Amino acid sequence: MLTYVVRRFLYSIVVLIAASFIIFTFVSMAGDPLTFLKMTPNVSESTIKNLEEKKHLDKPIPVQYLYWVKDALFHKFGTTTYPEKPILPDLWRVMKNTLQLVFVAELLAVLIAVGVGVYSALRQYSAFDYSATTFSFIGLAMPVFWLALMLQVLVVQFQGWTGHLLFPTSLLNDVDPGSGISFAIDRAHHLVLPVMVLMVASIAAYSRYMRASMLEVVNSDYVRTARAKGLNERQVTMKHAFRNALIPLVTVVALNFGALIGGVVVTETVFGLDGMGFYYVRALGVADPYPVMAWLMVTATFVIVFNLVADIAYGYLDPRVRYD
Amino acid sequence: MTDGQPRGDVLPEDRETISLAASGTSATAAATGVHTLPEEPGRAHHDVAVDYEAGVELEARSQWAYVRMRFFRHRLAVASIVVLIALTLVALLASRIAPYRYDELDLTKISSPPTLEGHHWFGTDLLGRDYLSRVIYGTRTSLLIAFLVAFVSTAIGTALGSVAGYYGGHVDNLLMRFTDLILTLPILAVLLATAAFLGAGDLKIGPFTFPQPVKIGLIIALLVWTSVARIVRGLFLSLREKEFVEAAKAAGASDLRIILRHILPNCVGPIVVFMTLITVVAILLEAALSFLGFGIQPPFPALGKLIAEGQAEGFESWWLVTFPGLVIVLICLAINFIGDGLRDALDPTQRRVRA
Repeated sequence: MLTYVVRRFLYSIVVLIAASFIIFTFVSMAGDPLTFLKMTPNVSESTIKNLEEKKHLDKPIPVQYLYWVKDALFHKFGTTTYPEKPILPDLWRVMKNTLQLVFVAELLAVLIAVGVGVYSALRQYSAFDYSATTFSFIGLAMPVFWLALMLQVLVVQFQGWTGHLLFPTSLLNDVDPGSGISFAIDRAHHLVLPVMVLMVASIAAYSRYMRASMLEVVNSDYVRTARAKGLNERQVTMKHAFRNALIPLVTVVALNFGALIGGVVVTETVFGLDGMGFYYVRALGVADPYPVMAWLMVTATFVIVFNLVADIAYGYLDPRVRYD
Repeated sequence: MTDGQPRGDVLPEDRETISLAASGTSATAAATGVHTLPEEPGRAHHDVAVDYEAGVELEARSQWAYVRMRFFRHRLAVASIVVLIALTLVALLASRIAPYRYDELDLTKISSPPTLEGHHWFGTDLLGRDYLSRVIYGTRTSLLIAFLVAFVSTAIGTALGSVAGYYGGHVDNLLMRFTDLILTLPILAVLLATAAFLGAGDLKIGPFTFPQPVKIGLIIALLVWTSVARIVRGLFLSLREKEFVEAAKAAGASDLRIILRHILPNCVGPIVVFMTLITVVAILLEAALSFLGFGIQPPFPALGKLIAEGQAEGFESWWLVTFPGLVIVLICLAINFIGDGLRDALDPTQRRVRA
């Protein structure tokens, strides 16, 4: 087990390095980082010349890559191109906001999806099961940003009819949120709609997995054995079936992080939340490669760490997994 | 897999993937009697014309006849096919069907809610452009991109997957590590970055010019082939050990011939199912890309772009946001159901939806 964890960890580091190289080549080959700047009036030739030298843009790409790695490791990802603003403090701030949003949404989504999936499996082909299936299909066919906008439309229309604003439709906080408890309440109030939006796709996907995995377990031999030896239905379901059915979901949730990032980008843009997604779209808007690459590195790291966690957790939870 | 039925032996027992095999149920034609086929299709090799022992005449049906039969029993899938074909036709004939041109202004009718008057069924926008026409043209762009992505990425995935699976060893290792690597990148984010840095408008590479929709389609296709590659590799890994491959080798067939003529036809089912999944992913990705402003640029309409324009005009004009979104949901639902129907038809042992 320990050798497996160590090997898996070392492998992750190799993947991370490879990912950094791919990200860098990809972004640098896609375009000139100074395009936007060159189109901006009031930026002189000499400024651009200086920047080109400073960012080593006159060097070949592998050399540029090494400079960039140096910047990332020793200068906290360096600065944005122009004006030069340190990247990491901004990234740190938006990351905290995003993690808050994602954590709440995923936690609720997993709880709801597990409940829905298990109940669907136990009452297969019931009205509840069919409704849950329908919900999943629609949830997976719906663009995230459209769901967000439709919720906003509903809230705005509702306000038009009744003069009452149910939930704020943008930003993370009011202009003057206060502090302590009142800040937390204000933040929670602002997060209701974004959390709902992020939850839908996750619930749709997870509840399907949970249902399938529960169905497989319920029909397995050891559950039949448990029944045969006279355990009551509740013990069979909760102690024997449910726990084992949860194992595959761990992997699914951990591996879903990459897809979740996409949802975050869109949701934060629609609601104007000061999070990673919004930050990323703004950086792309001015076509500045340095914050973009830093952002991609941070998310790639997250994905790789989650992959690692998923693998190790799976081995821990399911003793049938062999390491070789 | 847990239903304990005997499985057909024509195809791989690859437990991680959807296998193509029509499994044999224990019911034989002889037992069920006259002229009709058993309710569950019979043995995999069902090419007997007459079952002499029972003295019953049987129709000879190919494997694909059974697949077709099972598919048409999945009512939702059949309805979805109809919907998808209808939408595709509307998109293809946009210039004849749409009541207006997509960029036709009518400043006497700005921001009109949906009305029957003048065929403005989906209302008009701030410039008085008919939204039904815009949605029809937008559907054309989005479907074009989706189908392009489906074909290109399936081709890439199949090519890489079959090479990796057939040759195994270092080739396999290298290709699959590369696939894993692509999977660690958040797809929408990479897509956004590529589109943003490539810039708006047509893409020119040397003497070739790729119009906007083709450009977007190709970028998406270059990122979403991974799932197909993994599936095809899995199938090839198990199929290359089969006797018929050995026989082909003994007969002196080249690697290329074995891959294309002997193994690949056995993978068609799962590939088609995954193609439907990719199409849905492509539609959703393109919509998000266009919505965020890095996809199709105006005046070209695309569904995601239309939603963004609707958002910019404020939520009093709710129809601008609602209708393009509904069309996206409709397309994706239809393709998902078709995929589901195909999966059930191609592999009845893994039925997910009760037919």
